[in-house]
Amino acid sequence: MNANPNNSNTPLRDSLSDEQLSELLAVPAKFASDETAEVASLRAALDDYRAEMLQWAERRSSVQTSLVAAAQRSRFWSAIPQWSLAAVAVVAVAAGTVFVTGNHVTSNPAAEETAMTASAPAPKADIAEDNRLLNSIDQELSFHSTHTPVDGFGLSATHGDTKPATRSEVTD
Amino acid sequence: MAITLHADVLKFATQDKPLTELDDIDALARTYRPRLLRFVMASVRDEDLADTIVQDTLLKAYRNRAGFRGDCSLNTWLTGIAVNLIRDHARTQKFKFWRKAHATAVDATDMANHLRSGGSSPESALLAREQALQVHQAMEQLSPNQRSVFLLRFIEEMELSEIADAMDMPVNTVKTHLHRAVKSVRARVGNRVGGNTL
Repeated sequence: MNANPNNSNTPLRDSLSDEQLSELLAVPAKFASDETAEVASLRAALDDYRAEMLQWAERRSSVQTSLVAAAQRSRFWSAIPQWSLAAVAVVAVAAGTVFVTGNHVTSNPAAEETAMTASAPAPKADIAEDNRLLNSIDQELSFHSTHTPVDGFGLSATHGDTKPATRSEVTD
Repeated sequence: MAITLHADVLKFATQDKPLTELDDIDALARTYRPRLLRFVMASVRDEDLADTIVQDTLLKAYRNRAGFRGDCSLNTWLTGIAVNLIRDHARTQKFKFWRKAHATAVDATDMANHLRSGGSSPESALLAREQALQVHQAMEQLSPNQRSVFLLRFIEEMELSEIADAMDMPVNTVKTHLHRAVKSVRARVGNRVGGNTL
């Protein structure tokens, strides 16, 4: 095929539209017996590019390792999210159940016991015993307030404010 | 209510699926990796990224082999997966990094190192390499869709309908991208190939 009938050796660039050129390039060379120099040149360039790139790709592919291990790994990792989602769901439900149930068990009885304790009248004997205990505590605190831990070692001189007479009174 | 199953139904339900080309991933890689690598490398122009995309393509095809119904050829199906992965990478920052790296590092000179012509004479080898480089450089200016369509049509020699399937776009859209790509490549290569002024 020749798009320039005037001179077959010097085809014009505008002789073929882009669509025509595209269609001609897609036709195998063996079926394009008579084509313009432009089509022939572009076809040759594309053929070279195709062949060169395929050679490069074949060389590079020949040194690639097996994909079996990667396929197994990817299958394992693709399964992980399903397990993790299921595990997270179970843990969330369990935690929620324990939280709700635990609150119900621990809060309500405790509140009831507290209310009962606060409202029940205390026996007089218990009150008297509590008062005695409080008094003894007060006495102990007042005694210790004038003594320091080092007083037991007889180092009264270190405490200028402490009077020996008082100590003798206590010990007598 | 009694349920009876025909023997043929039981046999159909219990028999194993026949092994296909997709069930052996290494055989799949041996057959299709070079062509996929050629297309992906010409598209993304980075060796490591091309390797990664092709490997991901094969692994994805292997994992989803049950979904291949045979509506198109296996090559078209694999190419479609590769096209989608290239698009995915194009949307990520990672690919932007690679694209920047490519713009500064992987140029036609590097490509020339890969292209070792098997021509019969040094002169023809040199000419073939030069022409291949010119095509490679001309495609640099194409948009991703134009480049993919151009590569699939003239390098992978796929039919327009196959390209439409692989790229998930109408045939008319494929034609539009193709014509624009041809116009651009023609303008760049046509004036230089063979020293002709076209």
